[in-house]
Amino acid sequence: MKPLVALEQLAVRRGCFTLGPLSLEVPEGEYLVVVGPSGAGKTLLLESLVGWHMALGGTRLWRGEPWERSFPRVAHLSQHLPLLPHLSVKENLLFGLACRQEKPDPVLLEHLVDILGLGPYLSRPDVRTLSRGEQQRLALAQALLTRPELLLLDEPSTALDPHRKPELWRLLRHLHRELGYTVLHVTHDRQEAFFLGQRIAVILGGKLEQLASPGELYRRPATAAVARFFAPENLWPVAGVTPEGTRQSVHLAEYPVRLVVDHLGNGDLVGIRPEEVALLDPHRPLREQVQENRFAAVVEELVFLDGQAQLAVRTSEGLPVTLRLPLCPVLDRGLALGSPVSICLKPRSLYLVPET
Amino acid sequence: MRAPSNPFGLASVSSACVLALFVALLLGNLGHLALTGPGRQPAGAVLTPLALSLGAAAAATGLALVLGVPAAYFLARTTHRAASVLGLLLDLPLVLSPVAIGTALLLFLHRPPGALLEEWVGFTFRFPGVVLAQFTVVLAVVVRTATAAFAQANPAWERHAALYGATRRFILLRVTLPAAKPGLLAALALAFGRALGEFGATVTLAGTIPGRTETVATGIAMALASGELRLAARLSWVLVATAAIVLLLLRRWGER
Repeated sequence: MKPLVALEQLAVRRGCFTLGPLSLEVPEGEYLVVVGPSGAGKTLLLESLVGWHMALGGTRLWRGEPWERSFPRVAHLSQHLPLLPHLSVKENLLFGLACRQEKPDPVLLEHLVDILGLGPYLSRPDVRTLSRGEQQRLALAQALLTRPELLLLDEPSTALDPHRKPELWRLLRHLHRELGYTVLHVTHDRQEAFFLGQRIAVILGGKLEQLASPGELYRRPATAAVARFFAPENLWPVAGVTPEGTRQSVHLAEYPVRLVVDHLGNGDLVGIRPEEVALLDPHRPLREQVQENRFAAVVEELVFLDGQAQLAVRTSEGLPVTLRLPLCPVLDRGLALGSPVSICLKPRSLYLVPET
Repeated sequence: MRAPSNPFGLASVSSACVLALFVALLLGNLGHLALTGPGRQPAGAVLTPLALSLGAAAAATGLALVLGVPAAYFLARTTHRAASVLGLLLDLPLVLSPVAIGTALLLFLHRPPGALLEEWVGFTFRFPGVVLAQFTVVLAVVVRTATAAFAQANPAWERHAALYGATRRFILLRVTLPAAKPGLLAALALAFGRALGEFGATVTLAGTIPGRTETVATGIAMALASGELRLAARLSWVLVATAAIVLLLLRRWGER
């Protein structure tokens, strides 16, 4: 079956920035999140997909047919919400349908107004009196009322307070599951990408670096750039790799350290996410997965985050390691600067990545 | 100390009051002369030039809007360098003296291709000449003001409507024009007011023939030249009252 959307070697230039050439396929019904830092070309990707920028090359396909000849049902929720200031709240809600000269489906209309909590605002004559969050929900309802086959979302939660973001994410996930449309969502927020994406495309400097499921992306970043984007800590240059049966022994270049790695393959760097580094409890027997790559270390930095603690430790070999842990073991054990700890870099959590 | 929210301080309110007083004194003196004393003119002396002024100003403004607004949209949206040359050319009538514009029009209409137009329509010393002179003067006002209005309207609104599947006509009538409505109404008001008071280009191209090309503005000059100060004051007041009514109506429309 042909994907709903396919980009083949699409390349677009804006000023001195070039996006692509990149190829990407979005199957029907998928929630695909494109994640990358600001200035990576995410918005340009969405806008080029719908033909708002002249492409240097490549093709855009809708169910295998050229985009221009397909008249796809697409709604685009840009960062700067497309609400019209001269229309009332209700007129804005129905604007997408008015563009199509279609009548609203009363059941869907009622459902969206209810689920997006728009009821109290519908009678307002001026859409500018709504808060940013309310405008966000109104624009989403406007888009969904048109029953799009493809919904394009550009940083939908950027203007929301951090505590309101998961609320919007849950809503987006719920609506996607319920209505079954395809979503291409771009964001710089890594949490948002993992929360929503069935697959995640990482775009860095205008290039598609990796396209994978959230689990695979977490465990096996494809390049050092992807690994640095998600977790810049705990990446060490590799001096050599020796096969050891079904595993590998990795020698670090800058430290007298040998690590056992389950991941097969070669790489210039070996890394581990800070959440995957285990803080060992001296009073408990060691589980099987933390028998190897154990190190004695000293706490050099301790930062309390929102519900988490981030520890920077240095092993007796001089290897700097960052850990992110739930707050309670740190508090329970009374860890402080200079505290001796024992850590484990779990072999199954270590990954090897090429520098480029 | 609290930071002052008005950087001009008292200067802003006092200058507004002084300027309003200045304009009120000007109009007051005119009104006093117009409303007092004997010497009632026949109604035709005022109504005929008024009707001609309103008709010519409406036609010139309408024409300037129909032709100038699409051009203004182009200038507001394009990023091409050549567009700045176009914009400069269209702005030039703003800085040219109206008499120079009238002279240029006269010369234009006496050589091809203008001569063909003159032969076909007949502008010199005729009502269409009044409209053409006023149109040429107000075109730059319309283009400049409407360009600013379109530049304020977010082009993303049009792109989103097109993405939803809206037709070009729908986008023009429901998105582009309403989004720029306040600025376009300002263009209309400024152009109409400018056309209503236009003198130099009109008198150069169309003269001031009573009943045919004499507008209120040119009538005022004629009345002054012939020493009829009271008639000049009355015509001036008619001009002021008409402009005030039109501007008020436009403001009401804009608020809706």
